[in-house]
Amino acid sequence: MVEEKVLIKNKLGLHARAAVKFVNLANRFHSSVKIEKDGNEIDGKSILGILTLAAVKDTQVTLKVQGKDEQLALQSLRELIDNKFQEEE
Amino acid sequence: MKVHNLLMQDMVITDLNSQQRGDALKEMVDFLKRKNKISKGRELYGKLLRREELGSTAIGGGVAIPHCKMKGVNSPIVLLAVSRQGVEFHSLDGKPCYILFLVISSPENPSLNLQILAAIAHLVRKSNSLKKKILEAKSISSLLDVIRKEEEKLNE
Repeated sequence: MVEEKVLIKNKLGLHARAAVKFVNLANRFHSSVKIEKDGNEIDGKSILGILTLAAVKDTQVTLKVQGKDEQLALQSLRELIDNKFQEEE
Repeated sequence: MKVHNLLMQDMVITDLNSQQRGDALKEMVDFLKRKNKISKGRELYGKLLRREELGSTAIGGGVAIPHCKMKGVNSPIVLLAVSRQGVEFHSLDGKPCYILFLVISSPENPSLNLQILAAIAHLVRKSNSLKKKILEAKSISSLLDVIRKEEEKLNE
């Protein structure tokens, strides 16, 4: 398993559209994806799960990825968050 | 934050007529306008539609959360619409939606918007029987009771 702490940088936080983008990207990989915030760990391939985190801007979350393509999956998902989900702010 | 605290008695449509996404949104907007909860119906409808075009807000399990932000909405507006026939909502799983939570919040407060969506997600995610119980409720007050009880269970 690989894991990494990531900061949510977009103004709106992990809102619904961002959650969908995250899930769509996560689903392209075989690896399982978990997101942890404040001790709550949810399935990173579930929109509902992600929404329950209510992760606002500047929240730190931990991505935990496990499987044969874990390195690439983690890198891709981290880039999506770092690029603010392609949002302007 | 809990859904049952956000949802007022007069903010429930127990039998939505429309079976298509656009019509359903229109029906909900008209309801809010009739109840004087909003003034700019056309603007709201346009915003909701545009948001759906960016990606459906149907989040699975027969539930959709159409939402948008409107200037001048000081306290968030939450409307629950229940459909008996199901609404074609372009969901990811391709299935119709029976429970629609419409959420309108202020652009000034993205954090509050996230907390409301999180409350709905918590309610929907943990309860397998929620849809069935909501559809079976005979009145608005019993429907709100169902939601309150399901949310109380989440804390156990």
